[in-house]
Amino acid sequence: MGLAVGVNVAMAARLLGFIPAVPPQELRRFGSIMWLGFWMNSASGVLLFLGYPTKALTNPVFYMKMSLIAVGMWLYVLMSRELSEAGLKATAAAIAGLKARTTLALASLMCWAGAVTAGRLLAYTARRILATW
Amino acid sequence: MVDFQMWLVRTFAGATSVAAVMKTAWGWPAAETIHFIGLCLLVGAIFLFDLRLLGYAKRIPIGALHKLIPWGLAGFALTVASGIPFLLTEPDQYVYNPSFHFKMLFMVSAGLNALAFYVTSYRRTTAPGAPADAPPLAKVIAVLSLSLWLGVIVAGRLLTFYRPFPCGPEGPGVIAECLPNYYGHTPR
Repeated sequence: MGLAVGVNVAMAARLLGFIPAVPPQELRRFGSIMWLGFWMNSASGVLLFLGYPTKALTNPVFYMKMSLIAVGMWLYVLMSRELSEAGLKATAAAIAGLKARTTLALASLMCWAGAVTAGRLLAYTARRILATW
Repeated sequence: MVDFQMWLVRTFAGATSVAAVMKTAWGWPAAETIHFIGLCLLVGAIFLFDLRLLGYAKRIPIGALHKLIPWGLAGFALTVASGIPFLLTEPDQYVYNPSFHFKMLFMVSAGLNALAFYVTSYRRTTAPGAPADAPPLAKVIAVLSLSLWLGVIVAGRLLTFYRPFPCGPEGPGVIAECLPNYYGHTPR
């Protein structure tokens, strides 16, 4: 979780201008670390899901978490694409795109904060642990 | 040590107002959520910086990536601020928990390790025109940092699996990893 979300946070920080001296294209190299974290999360998440499928599937918060992760990953692709473009030079076009980049970075941060929150709340909002037939 | 632990538990248990908030329906889950968000910030900043010291993404100047460290410190502040209420609410579940002992040991070690970086390698690695390759000592510090923070996370996750039970007739050891009998305990 820390690896996947952490790299997204670093990318968002770059788009927001907090680490301006970091070459944006180079920051994308940490993408492999993000994917490593993502697949570790996915593999362990699938095992947890297989252990208690009813607990997850009967909880609306689970669907919220999955949706936020999906949106977060989509935003990661967009941020990654954004960081590859022309090194965020202070050209007129870049200045025009500044607002969009800020929105993208903030959306990503909020999305991951929401996914972490939903994930943590799963333990407190489960209504059924096992299916009864 | 056991007496010190017992004193800690008694002292922390005195924070009844914090415990009252934590025992509401949202207190504990809210603190856990903040703890995890802080963890993401911490890992995002510290792990990326350590990986850079080890030679990952060499075209990023080390000094430039160091600007990410305040985000890690903010994350650490969030984890501490949200972690202390756990300790104040259920002190005996932490003070006598072996996993918590390891977590604290790893965390203090990580802090000393970071201090060692700033004393020995910070200037050499972050000065303008510093070589892209970090010196060997900085790399050793980076490996230690990654290992210790990983240890903090693992020990933190294992806390719940090492909840202390009441001590047996043999009593607590030098460091109590069970709930001592407050009335019958004889210090060693």
